[in-house]
Amino acid sequence: MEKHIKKWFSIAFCIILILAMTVCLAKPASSFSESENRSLAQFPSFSSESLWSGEYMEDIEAFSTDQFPFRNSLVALKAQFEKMLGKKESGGVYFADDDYLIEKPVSMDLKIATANLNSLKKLGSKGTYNISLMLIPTAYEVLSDKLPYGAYTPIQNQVAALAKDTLSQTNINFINPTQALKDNFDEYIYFRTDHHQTAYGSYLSYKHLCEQMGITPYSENDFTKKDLSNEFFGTMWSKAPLFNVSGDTISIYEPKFDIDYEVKYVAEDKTSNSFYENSWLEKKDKYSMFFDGNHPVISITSSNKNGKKLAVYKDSYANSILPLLANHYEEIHVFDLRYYNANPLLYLEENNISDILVLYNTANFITDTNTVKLGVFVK
Amino acid sequence: MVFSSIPFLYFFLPAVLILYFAVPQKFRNTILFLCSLIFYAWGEPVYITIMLFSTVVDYTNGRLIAHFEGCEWKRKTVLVIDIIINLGILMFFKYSDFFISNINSITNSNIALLGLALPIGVSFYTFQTMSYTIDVYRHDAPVQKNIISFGAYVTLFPQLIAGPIVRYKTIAEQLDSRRESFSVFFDGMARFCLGLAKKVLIANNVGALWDLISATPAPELSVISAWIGIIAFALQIYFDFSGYSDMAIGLGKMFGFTFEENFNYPYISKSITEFWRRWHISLGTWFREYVYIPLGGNRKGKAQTYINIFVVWFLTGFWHGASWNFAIWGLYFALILIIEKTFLLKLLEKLPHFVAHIYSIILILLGWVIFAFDSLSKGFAYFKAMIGISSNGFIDASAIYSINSYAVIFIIGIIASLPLCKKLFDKYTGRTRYVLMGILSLISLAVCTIYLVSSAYNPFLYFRF
Repeated sequence: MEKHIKKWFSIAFCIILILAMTVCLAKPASSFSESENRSLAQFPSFSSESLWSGEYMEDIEAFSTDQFPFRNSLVALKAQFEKMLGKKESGGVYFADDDYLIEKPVSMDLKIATANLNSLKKLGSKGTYNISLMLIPTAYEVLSDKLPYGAYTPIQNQVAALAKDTLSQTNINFINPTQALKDNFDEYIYFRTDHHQTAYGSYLSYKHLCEQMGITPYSENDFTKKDLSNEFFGTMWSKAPLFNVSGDTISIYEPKFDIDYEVKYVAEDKTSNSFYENSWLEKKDKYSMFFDGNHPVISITSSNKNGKKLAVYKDSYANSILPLLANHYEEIHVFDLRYYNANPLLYLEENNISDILVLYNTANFITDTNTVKLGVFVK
Repeated sequence: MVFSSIPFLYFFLPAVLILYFAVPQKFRNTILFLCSLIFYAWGEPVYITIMLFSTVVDYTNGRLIAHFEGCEWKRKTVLVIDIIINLGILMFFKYSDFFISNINSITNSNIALLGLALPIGVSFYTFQTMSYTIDVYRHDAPVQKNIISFGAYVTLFPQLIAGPIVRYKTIAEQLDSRRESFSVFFDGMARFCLGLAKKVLIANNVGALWDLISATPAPELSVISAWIGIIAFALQIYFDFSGYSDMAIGLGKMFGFTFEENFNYPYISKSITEFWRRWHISLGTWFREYVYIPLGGNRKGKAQTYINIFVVWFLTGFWHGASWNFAIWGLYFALILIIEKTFLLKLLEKLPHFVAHIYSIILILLGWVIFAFDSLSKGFAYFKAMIGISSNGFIDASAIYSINSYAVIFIIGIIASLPLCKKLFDKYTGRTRYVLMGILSLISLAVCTIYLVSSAYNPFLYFRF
């Protein structure tokens, strides 16, 4: 009897291993993971070179974890399991109060932020441009009261203080909306499952930005707020895909006043009369509906013929703010320095632009190594 | 390749099992030899040459020692040459940069470092192959005439990269005649799954906490954080290493081998002397049999015994890595062992058990502080944080965060370090026991798979050895 038990468990063990191997190799490989927003590893093609360098084996390892049967469900189970074990975080995401998933700071090092600021300072010292820098704190800072006890460090405040200090003797205008956002702590200003700001959070940032740049912002009543989806599960949820989380709501502000826009994706040579690409609402990455994701250069022309031009160097936090800001400029030229590798100053000269806005979220500003490109071309 | 990875569990292992059990008995060593080479080549294809070189050299030397039977000086010469070659490989790949940088700093010279990648498991297999030639020389084991069987011993993947260090004489017979069976396979599978769970569920988890705490400059840690950190490290290194040994022993069983045990609940020790009988037993035995006893052991008077202890523990420490902190870690234990030998052990026996336990665990934890930091000054700074001389207060927010977040895993880890669960489990016998074992094993496999598929976090501590 005992012998039989041992035998059948041994066989079961072998069958599980062999079955997983067979399914992994035989099933058609998925090519893209929507939840992680990346391509999945495929079975590598063989070459003696990649064999001897060990690259072939690394590729097989990546293949095996990326193409493992029921991978997404297993990842979800892990997050759930961690939470059950009493962990306060999983996959670099804190389980915060009120079902918020808040990103853990990737780095506590101010080296990159310092380099970015110095680069900006260098650009400012040219004297030709009117520069504003806005660093928008993330939920980690603004909603810090929701974080698990002891998880908070004032890293984003340190960056803001560093920025203020570095830029104090320059003509660069440093804009810090932290307090303005914290005053609205109880409102729905950050997505629970994504690292971006909600429509209202973006509106508050826009309002603060305008006030600091000497522009009179529109009031919220000048717009109609339109909810487009309440099934948004964002990047934080991808990292910690818990079961019992409800989706976020993506909304936009449509002006009640008369205005038209032309949005031109320069590198792609594509034009649209809307900031929004609604087809993304059918997919997982719904935040990409703003400006169809990220692009090297976008130029926005509005029917507000006031002759004002602005260049914006930004990350994706700007994507939900720009539709509001566009009402105040005749032309806005938007650069994503991650993808824009030409001399950004040459473009400004050619288009006769002297006002610059640099807009990042603070967490990204600590790690983004592309902002320095702004200073590189200054002689 | 590491055992706790998807490609090993779900590609390599099933493939080897199919091949191994599909061929007749007499080809099974060949399969093991070839598969082990693939296993080894997985990470560093180039270093497979060292593996083959070792196999051929030690095989030849074994044959020569047997061939020169009756002529003592020839046998001895071959043995010395063999040891020089093996230690040479170890020195060259593991210690040359250490020596160069020390020479550089002493003589102010500027010799370029070699920057060699450490061949995986070199510390383990050079010790194993040396045990073979010494055993043959001492007539403790018969010479192995079949190079495939010998190759299978040298490269045997279950214990190739992180031990246990299997001395040749303990498996000489099994190499050529062993019986695989479902009964042994089942035990092996259960042992393997237990080891996997120790590594993936406990070691990796507490390891993440240690990484975080050890990366923080020591003066910024509170006293409690520093203690939580070193306890996390103690749990990590024990579950990592003993988990790996369990997996090795379990895999060995699947293929019909019986390896000696490597850990025996080290953290329940009541003295450091006892700790070293329970921790990394195969390494301790190796040094005792091949270094301590040949040096005279404790038979040549007190002074010589103490010198021998210092030599053996210096080497033991240094074996763990090419850095001064490991050597000092070894000497630290040598000193404690000698103190225990002279009077402390007798005293400890008279004291209540819990005093002896606290004494041992504190010294073990201090040992881990020396062990964990490459740089002695960092280790010292950490020690100062632990005793509150230079720390960020007694307790701070991040300490409370760690406690909140890791309490459950700590409790599981501490309970699993005690023989408690085993005792409880041993109450069940017969059918219930095996059904329970089987189910728990498959659950462990499933949960570990969930963790391995989802987490990129799977660093392996013992690759440095």
